[in-house]
Amino acid sequence: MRLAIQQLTEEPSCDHNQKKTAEQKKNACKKPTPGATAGGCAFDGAQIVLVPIADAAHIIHGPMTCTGQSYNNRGTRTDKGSFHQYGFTTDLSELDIVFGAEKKLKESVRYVVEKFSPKAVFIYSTCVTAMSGEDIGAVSKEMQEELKVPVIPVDSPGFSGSKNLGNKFAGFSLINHVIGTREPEKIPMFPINLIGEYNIAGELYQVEPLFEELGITLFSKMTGNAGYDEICHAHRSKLSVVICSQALISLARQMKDKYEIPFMEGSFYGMGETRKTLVKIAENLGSDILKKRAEELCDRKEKETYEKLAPYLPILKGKRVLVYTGGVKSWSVLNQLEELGMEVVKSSTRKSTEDDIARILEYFEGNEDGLMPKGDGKTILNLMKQYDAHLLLAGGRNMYNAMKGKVPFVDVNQERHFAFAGYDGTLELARRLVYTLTSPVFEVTTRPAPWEVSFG
Amino acid sequence: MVKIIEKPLAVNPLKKSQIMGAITAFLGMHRVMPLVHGAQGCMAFTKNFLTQHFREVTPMQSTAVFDIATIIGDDSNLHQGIANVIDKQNPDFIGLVTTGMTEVRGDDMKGSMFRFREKYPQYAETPVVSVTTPDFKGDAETGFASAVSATLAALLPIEPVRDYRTRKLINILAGMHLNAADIDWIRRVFEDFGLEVIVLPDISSSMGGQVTRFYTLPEEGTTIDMIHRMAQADFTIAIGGCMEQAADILLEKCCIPYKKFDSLTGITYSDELISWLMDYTGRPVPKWLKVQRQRGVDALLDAHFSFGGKVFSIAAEPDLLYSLGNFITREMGIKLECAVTTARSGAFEELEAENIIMGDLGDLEEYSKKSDFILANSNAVPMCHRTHQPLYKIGFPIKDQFGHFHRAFVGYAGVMQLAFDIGNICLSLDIEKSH
Ligand code: SF4
Repeated sequence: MRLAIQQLTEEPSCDHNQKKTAEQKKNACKKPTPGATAGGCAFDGAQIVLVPIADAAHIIHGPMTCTGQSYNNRGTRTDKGSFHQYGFTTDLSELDIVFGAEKKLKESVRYVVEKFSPKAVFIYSTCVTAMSGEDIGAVSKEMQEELKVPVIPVDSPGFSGSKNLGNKFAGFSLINHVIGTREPEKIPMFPINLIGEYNIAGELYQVEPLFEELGITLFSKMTGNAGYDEICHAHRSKLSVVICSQALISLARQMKDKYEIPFMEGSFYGMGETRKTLVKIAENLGSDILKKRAEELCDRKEKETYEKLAPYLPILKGKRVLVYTGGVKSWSVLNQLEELGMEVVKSSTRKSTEDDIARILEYFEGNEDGLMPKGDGKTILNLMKQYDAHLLLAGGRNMYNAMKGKVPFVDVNQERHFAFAGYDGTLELARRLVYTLTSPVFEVTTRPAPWEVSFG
Repeated sequence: MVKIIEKPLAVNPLKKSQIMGAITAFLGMHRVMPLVHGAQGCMAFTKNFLTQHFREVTPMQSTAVFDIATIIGDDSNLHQGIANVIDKQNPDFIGLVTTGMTEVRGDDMKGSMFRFREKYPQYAETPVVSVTTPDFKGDAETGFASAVSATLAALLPIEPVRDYRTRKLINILAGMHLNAADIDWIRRVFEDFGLEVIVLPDISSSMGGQVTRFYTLPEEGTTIDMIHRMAQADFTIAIGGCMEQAADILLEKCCIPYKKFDSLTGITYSDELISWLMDYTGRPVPKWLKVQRQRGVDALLDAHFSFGGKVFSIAAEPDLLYSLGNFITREMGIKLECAVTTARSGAFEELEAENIIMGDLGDLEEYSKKSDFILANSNAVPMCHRTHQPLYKIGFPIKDQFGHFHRAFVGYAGVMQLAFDIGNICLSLDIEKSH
């Protein structure tokens, strides 16, 4: 068991490491600084990827923090089941830890299968159970045989790394235990895997109709609005499309090695990116007709969307935005904002790979001033002032920082309630931007109180 | 009799870990940095959780213990974490919270702090209050109570100087079940009886929205000077069973007598408090309080038509469970079908209920079939969707509602609020039924 964890943690914890020398690696992938960290643990990352599979039960093997403070808090939407809202945990006590809790875990799996009949069960190890050497792999195997339900171990102790690494652990579990375990009844004409899209606030629902119209089947979604079964037959897809996730490229790469499924990256943030992605998918599927259809679809959609955007664009034109979001999202969001006529004054490069940074730089025409390193709420608010920015676009973590600074804000975080993908999403984003920018709240709340006004 | 349902795992936990409770307590203190000793996920989850609950910036940090460090078990992460927090934020003190992982690893916090003090004399100015809060024991309320106790144990002056001019100083130990509006009500009542109060912890002032500028440390809660001055108080009022342990520390260290209120919710408990204040101060009752009592009474009378024959179930940490459960059963006359809680403390075992269960929301779902409505946190939303029972949101977390922190549940203000809120739920049920 210990060994397994070691193997996993020895993998480079971020992809942007791979091209670098050992020395560079050390610098680029610094461990979090004690007393100055942000961001979740590997276990959190594993859950982000797997919990959207809502017809499977997710049992967390550990004491209470890992579940008690985290369950029922994902922005993912699904019509396949409701287990994404459930928290199942072995809730270990001191005695369990001293005497071992594998028996308890087995009973838990039996209980959940009997009572809730999930399609599958995922078991997560956490810091404490990984340290005390609980063998979730063996338990999974035994239970799967006994109960005739797939039981999948996810080795994801929080101390092994960041959320990003946890995403990979999840991918590792999928490729080793799920993908390829079942054959589909029939294979459609253009089956693809969509990887790294979690249907946050219903973003998948915004792009799904586009695929439908093109005749492309989202054969296996990983994992937004996915049922367990569809992931099992992912190996029969003709193409993997990785959306906004560096961490899951490793999964796509493994699928290529194992099943010879080519993969590509894409994004649905913004009309330009949506077009690029759809056309590239059509190209990769090797169909000229499909490509032509995709182009026509995008032409039509763009025209429609611009018509609907008409009332908003004049308000957004020339407004300055500070973007503080992670990874791939940052460059695709930049383009999306540009389409709306806005100007990005600075963008964070947090969790970004070199490719991502290159793309952000492209936006700023090579001017490194546009890049903004990691910073806390204070840095962000100061930069807002310095650049006279009108609006902050960031994750929920910074939402209340923005409100303390009384600056307009749009949330692009996991728990948000609004979806920003594809054409409908661009329209939604425009609306949200306009609503916050034109809210009378900011004028009213920045006025001095009567006793703060000096006369004379 | 308290039941424990035989099942191997928790289904939809009601329990939050001690870490969350301890951090919440620290957030009610001025310029303290809660520092979680463990891998960074525990802090990140808790921060996310509390930020959504309070809709406020919730400063906290982690020692970010990582793989290798986990196995070797040295204290470099801890030391570096403390040093970095002092360098960056310079808090008035640090609230150091342990996790299951560091407890299993057997980290010796006392020894480690000793080595820290030896190694870094430059940080001697900043006190570190260390709390043991493994998440395989206790619940949020015990974590909260431990943090308050540890703060007092560490920061109260060793030989308090009694200052007889401060005769009218009262310590209020505010349990985790209190909302901002509760703390405000209590403070105002005591002050209007001519007393000076120090509230510990004061999450009303820090997390109630009155700090409108940007901050990196919680502000306007109980200051370290106030905590020092608590040693000079004449009396302590502990609100909630879990605060007794802290009151004991004040008694033992500073000879301050105390009175514990298991609840301040409902007419009976409110009257008890006001009687005590009248006796203690010999002062007349302020007019606004008299008016408020009349309004509370009137609200109960008006709403009682819809209370009759109703049944409810409730899930919460012990102190909140008792406060609300007791008021709704004994003073509203609504039957309690099932009460679910997370730890064995406080007075909740006195509740008249068909079932009192140490358990989770899964148990609540199973044992509340006859209930007309449910009281629980926002994690019960999916359950209430399934069962079509109205949910009145209480406790932690409430993520999908504004203003929950500014509802008063204590005193006559609380009587009125609850009579209206519960009354409205019952009234809608009656109206629905008759159509
Ligand atoms: S850091 Fe470890 S103990 Fe904490 S939440 Fe993550 S997995 Fe659980």
